[in-house]
Amino acid sequence: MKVVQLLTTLSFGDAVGNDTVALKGAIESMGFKTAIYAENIDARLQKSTAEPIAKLKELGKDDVIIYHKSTGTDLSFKLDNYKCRKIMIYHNITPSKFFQPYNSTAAALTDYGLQGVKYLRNKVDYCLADSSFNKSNLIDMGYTCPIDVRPILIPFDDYKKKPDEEIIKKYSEDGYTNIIFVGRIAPNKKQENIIRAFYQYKKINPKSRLILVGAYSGMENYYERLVKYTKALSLEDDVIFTGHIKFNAILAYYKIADVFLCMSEHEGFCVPLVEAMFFDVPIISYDSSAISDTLGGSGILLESNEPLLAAMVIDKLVNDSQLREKVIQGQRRRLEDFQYEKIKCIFEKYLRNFLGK
Amino acid sequence: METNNTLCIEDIMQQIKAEIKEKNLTSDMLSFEDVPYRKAEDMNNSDGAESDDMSATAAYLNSHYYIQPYKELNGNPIIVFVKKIIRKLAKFYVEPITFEQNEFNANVVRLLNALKNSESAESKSELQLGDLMNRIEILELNQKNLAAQIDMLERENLELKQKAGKQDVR
Repeated sequence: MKVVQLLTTLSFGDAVGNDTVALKGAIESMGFKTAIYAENIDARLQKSTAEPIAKLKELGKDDVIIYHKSTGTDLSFKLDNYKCRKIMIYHNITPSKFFQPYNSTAAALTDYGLQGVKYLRNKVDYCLADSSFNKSNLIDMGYTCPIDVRPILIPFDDYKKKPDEEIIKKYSEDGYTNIIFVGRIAPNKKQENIIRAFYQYKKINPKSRLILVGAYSGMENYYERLVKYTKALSLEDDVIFTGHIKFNAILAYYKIADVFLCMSEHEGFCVPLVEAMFFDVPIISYDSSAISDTLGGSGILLESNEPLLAAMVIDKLVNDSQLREKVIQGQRRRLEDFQYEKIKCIFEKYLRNFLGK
Repeated sequence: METNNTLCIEDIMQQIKAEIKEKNLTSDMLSFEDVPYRKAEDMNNSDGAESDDMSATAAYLNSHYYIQPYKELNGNPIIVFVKKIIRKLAKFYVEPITFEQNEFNANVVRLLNALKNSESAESKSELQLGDLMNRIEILELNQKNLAAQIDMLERENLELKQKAGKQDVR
């Protein structure tokens, strides 16, 4: 029996790519024959990591396809051609309404992605969702097959690499409070609400800066609007848009961060929250989509995106060392739930249950 | 432990909310909705391709506008000889037309080049204008934000005066 993984694009270092590669190891350790098949394979990955979908040979009815769904692709509509058992891992797709004003291609792609998810509702035998939020999304779209929640696998060893020393030196020696958010510049992540909160916080603590870590390719219109907004609020010297940066630079920003502020309105899991936990950066986040699932009671959840409330919570967290310590302790406990062995065990249990072994 | 932690954070959130209410603090500021932006549909109406076509056409016309009255004759020497005789006979008719045509072509190309130059100057000034418009836009937004701040400060000032008045009465 073979258990193969299928996806459109296997990228180097992104959440879905990391999860897929890690699951390959887990499946192998369970004693099954396995492989990853993708339409596009990142050239930076080792050749043996994955193969083109064209090489996927006939599968028997006992074999299993694990299909990773996170974007719009024709593959979703071809999946029922494979006469084997099918599992879908749902990483979530951002609704197009967020992208519509800024990039119609991105909006069309996400719409197509959601069409694909709806198409598969009676064509897969079992689903794994990254979060309870993703699970409820699937139920809302008419999925009746069994669905379990399994957090994404995160390669924590990568975070132990050496951070960019220059960045650490630049931003950690001037006595400023560093507020960061890590994530693509994208309308669903609501970077404007982070800027609004920072504007209010700057009145309380003028020696502070906001660093928005993330690429903006494909979202140039939104990025330009954000830049204009920071200029209009006279914050251009204190809000830093890093754009696309190297991994060691991202690590450095986590190292110098005093607070991780997230105001996102749509996340299927939000890996940066777990990264912030790993680096002991206290998290303040607007309670939306999968955020509360990922935080699991840790961090500080905001019930509204009111900037003044966020600013005052930042101030409290920066100045109250006891509170800060409590939040970090809570995050450390939550981080335990995302350890590789734990998630691997959950995956193995669910897979064995599905296979009836 | 986690419950204690949650309770502690809940208490703090309540304190902060109470403080906001008590001090009547507001977050009046410029709204993100007020910030203009390039919309997705504007991106699809780019005239870059048109401008590229025009440059290519202009380059072709500049290098090909002058026509020679006669083509080079090659091949069978007898046929070439006959063609030369015919060419001599037709010279009085063909040459003036060709020269007139060249004069006309040269004028058209000159005009086209002038038009193209004025267009690129126009697009340069359009760029400068765009830059200026951008700066004006940001200044207007700045002003809007400052107006919101002034309103908020005036409100706070009024409240403080009212409080001070009450204390004087006491």
